[in-house]
Amino acid sequence: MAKSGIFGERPVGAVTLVETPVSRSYAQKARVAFLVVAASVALVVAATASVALPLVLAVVVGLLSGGVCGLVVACVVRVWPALRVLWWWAFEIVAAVTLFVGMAYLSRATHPAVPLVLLAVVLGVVFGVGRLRRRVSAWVWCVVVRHRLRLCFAEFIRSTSRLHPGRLPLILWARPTPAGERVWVWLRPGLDLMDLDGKADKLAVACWAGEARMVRASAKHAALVRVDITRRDPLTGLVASPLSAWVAWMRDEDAPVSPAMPPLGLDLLDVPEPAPEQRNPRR
Amino acid sequence: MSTLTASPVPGGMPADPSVSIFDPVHVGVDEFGHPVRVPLIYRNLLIGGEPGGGKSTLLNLIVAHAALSLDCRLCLLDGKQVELGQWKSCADVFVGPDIMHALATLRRMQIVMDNRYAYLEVAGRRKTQRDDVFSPILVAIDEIAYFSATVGDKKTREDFAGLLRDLVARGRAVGIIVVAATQRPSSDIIPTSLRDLFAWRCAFRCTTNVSSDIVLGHGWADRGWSSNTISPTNPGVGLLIAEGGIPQLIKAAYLDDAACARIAIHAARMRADRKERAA
Repeated sequence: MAKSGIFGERPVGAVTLVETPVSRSYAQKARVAFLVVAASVALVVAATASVALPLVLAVVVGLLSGGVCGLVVACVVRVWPALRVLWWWAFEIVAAVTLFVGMAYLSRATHPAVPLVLLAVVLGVVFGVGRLRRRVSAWVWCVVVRHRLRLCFAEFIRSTSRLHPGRLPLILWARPTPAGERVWVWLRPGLDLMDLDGKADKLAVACWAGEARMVRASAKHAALVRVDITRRDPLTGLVASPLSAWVAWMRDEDAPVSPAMPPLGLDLLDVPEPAPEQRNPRR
Repeated sequence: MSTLTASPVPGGMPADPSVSIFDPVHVGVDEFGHPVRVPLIYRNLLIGGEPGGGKSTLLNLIVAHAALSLDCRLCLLDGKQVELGQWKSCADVFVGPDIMHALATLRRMQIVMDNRYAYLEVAGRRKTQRDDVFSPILVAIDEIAYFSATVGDKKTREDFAGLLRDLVARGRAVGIIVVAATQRPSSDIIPTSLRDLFAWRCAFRCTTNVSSDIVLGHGWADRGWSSNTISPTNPGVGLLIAEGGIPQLIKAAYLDDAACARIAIHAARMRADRKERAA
């Protein structure tokens, strides 16, 4: 029986990268992949090698090749959930590595204070210049929204028993829009846009936004879905029609401003009560 | 395609804008600030939304474009008279709050439509085209509910809905463009068989998700496309379904009364000049 404590089975501080059901599912897939690939490669290599080598040696070579190829494929399948996690956090990982490697290189190549000063200057410029700050903030929101959407989709799938837990949609990329962010999502087999119907409000809440709207992003691929996150209204200003420009040369006097009809009967007291309708006495 | 930019001739009339009803109509901007242009030829448009939402703004933009297009004729129905009243001088027919006049006008339109189809059939063609022998006709109806659910008796309302359905269903190919506006096009206002014929929809702010879905089509609110979330303090913002079949958030361009009056006068003059030249 598993050991249990006040914090459960897991040690304090442990972080789950891949959930247990997903991990089990991919372990099973890895075993199947190993067997299929190993057998296929072994057969093909043995048959090919038997032309030039003795049969026993050809079988040995085939088995070895199959084993190696199967192992490689099984490893890739087994660690695929972890690779996916790396993809989700790719931006942060690349940014952090670049920052620390760059700072370490600069401090070694120059004075230890130089990278800190440079960092302070960059941060100062970014936060000081409004336009730059807004641009950076918009891209940061894109990074945040990708994570929020992923968590939200995971929650939807967890709450839907018919969906396999490993079938999380792939969050492709996100870009800022004047209203918020636009994110493209690739749905895995077993999912469709209908599965997300009625969940727009939940997505908006998860993304700390005002609204979320989903729509098919491609006529060719039903799996490609676009999610528009709205956190501000860019359509508040007055929009002029280009038709106005055509008549800008006309003077105001040209437009009729006084009605041709005398202002009579415009109030209730000026209008007499209409005659009552004749009712059919048979009814 | 002509570009609608001002190029006034100093001290006189501007150059002929040469706008055509075959050109897309500029209706406003999208949330990226890009202009939104909607081709209306061979199409019909249903506009819905609560009072003050922007329906008449969009309707006036479309009528203004059609009025300046010398290759388009206007047939206007307006129960309130004032929303489209400024374009009376440019229109072949203007129908006010008179259901019998509205019915007579739609019957005339039906005869025109049949005649046009007969002409095309003899000519061995399937639809009208630019510079054809007959011009497209824009049938703009503001507050369709007035004619289809308010005035007259049951028979006249049914006749109105039936005639309009025929125009929407068959009029496309002969250049009859129907643009109808109402607050809530539910089945008690216009039959669903008529509502579903409108390919293009525009929903300005609605009071509920259901009302928004009635205008745009079922299911859009579930995916977040509801005009219920549009701020009531921001009139002119709406969801437009046109090319692409996907709702698009737009802000309709605004023409104030003075601008409408100027455009109407200019369009009426151009039409009169053209008539004189033709005579």
